[in-house]
Amino acid sequence: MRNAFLKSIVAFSLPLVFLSGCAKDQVKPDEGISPEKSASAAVAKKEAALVKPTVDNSAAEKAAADRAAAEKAAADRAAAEKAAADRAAAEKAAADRAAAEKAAAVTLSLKTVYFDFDSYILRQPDRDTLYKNAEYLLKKYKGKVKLEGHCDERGSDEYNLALGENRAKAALNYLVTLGVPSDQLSVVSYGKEKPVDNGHTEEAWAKNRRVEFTVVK
Amino acid sequence: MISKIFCSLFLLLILLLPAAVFGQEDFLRVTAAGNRQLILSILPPKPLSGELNSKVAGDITEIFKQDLAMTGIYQVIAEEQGNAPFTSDLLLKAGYTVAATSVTFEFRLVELPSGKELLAKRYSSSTQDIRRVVHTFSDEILQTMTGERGPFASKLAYVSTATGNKEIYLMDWDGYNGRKLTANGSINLNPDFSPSGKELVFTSYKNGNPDLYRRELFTGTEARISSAPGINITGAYSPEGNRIALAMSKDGNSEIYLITKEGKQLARLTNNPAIDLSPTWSPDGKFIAFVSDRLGKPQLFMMRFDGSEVRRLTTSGAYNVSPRWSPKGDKIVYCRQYGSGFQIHLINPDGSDDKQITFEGNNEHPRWSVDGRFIVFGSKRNGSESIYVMRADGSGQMKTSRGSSKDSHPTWSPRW
Repeated sequence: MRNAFLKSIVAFSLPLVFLSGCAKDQVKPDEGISPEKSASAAVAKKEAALVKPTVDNSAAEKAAADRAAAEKAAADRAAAEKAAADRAAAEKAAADRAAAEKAAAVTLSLKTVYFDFDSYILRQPDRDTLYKNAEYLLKKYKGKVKLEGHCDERGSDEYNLALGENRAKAALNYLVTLGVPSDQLSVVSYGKEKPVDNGHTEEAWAKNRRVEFTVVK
Repeated sequence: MISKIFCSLFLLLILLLPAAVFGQEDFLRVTAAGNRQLILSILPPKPLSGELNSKVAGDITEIFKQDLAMTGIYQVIAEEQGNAPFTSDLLLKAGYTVAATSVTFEFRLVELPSGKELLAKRYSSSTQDIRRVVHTFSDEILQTMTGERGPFASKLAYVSTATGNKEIYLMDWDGYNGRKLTANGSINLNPDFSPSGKELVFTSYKNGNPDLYRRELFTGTEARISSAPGINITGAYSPEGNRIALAMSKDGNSEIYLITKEGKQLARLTNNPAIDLSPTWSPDGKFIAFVSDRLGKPQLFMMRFDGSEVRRLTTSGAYNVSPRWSPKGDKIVYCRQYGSGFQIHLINPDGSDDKQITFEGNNEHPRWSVDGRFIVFGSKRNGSESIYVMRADGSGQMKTSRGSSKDSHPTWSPRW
């Protein structure tokens, strides 16, 4: 996308450079240039021609040459476009796959932290976990990460939405004090809406009172 | 779908018969002599003309019996024969005519032994609206007998996982005519009706963040009215319907704010490092009760609607949440944690008379019916999560949601 944009800028400005600089002899049609770009080049040239009438002839020659190029390009275009589309789709799929793998790897490297009931205080083991997460974010992964706050099923659903957010913010604040840039981090609370363990035991509840890290796409 | 229901509502012709003019002077015939329940006999519904239709007749009897028994005022007996026993205090007579797509009804409430007709109405409706018509006459009976119309023709909004996601649904109070309102495949929570009953607010994650949405029931139009960074939850319409109190965390932690129903911020009502949320308005709009953990654990507090004069409401129990002010203003219903679950309590707005009214299962999210007679709530008991309705004293608990899905977060609509 960006590449195409740059190319069109080059295509647009090339004739201008030629016209204002070394006016006459060159301006060969570029075989690789697409009809659309040629057209815009022709327009640019025409506009320039209004300013500098001396280049009228070469402008006409170039327009003719461009037309020829356009015809040739049109003949190739369908096949080229299809190939490009296929390539783009394959590239996108590959890129998505790679991104998903990378996100999974990052998420795997960023460990979940856990909390006591109705508490968003970070315990020492969780501070240690967050220290390792901070190291990873500072050294290995500079992309954006979301901290998801969760609660167990025992609190009220409404209060848990606020509590889950406080947990996520407590973890975020600790990471920031460890030097992780705050604009790399964001929070969202799911309260008790997304338990990892649907059991009704203390063990299940302990697993659910957590802050998880996910990669922001 | 909804608009169709409203249309058929408007098409519903309600014709007062001359007989209904008298019999209005003495309300509060709630109990018979000796404080016993009034015995109300429902006679077998008869065709006014044409064929006997046992389906329609059965529906009429079943719906009246369920509604009127739920009031707790009547001992309701569906009579097999065409005559009431002489012990009956009230007689309910129903007639119907079933046409191709419509039904005409005549309902009469007769006082015994005088034989005086207390109430008589004729309705006609489409065949799909039979339940609604019968609920409407139940509401009329309560109006006539007590001076306060019943809530049976109004609706419950609730959250159901029937699709696998938490979507907002609407159903009759007894669980019939359920229909899905939202279909965004995300998490939708906490519906709250506007006082007009024509719209509701709810929190949805459909754009990633827990934002507050307002939905018009007629049109299905949805607007995101609060999408501040962080939570935008527990929205509650003010009694006049133009403002919404809600909890947002955009300024660091969960605080209560006042916004217009279009989403413009009017005021910040709380300001402290604790969690403040779940606002509920007094019916006169002068006070807001809410939940705060500013003293360590979540407790109910009260403030004026401008955020001044904050005082603590609950003084016992370690974890008290989810308050809702009664429509009459005399009670606040809320949930107290016991072990790993919740039970429903009532408390007076001055903090007195704190009383537990449910004892079975795990009960959350209590909301009043518009007349204050009933409370709807979500309950986990017998291994399922369903919507229950009970009388405001905790008696008469009845499961009303019918699916096998997990149903929660109910709220009872105003009359509409």
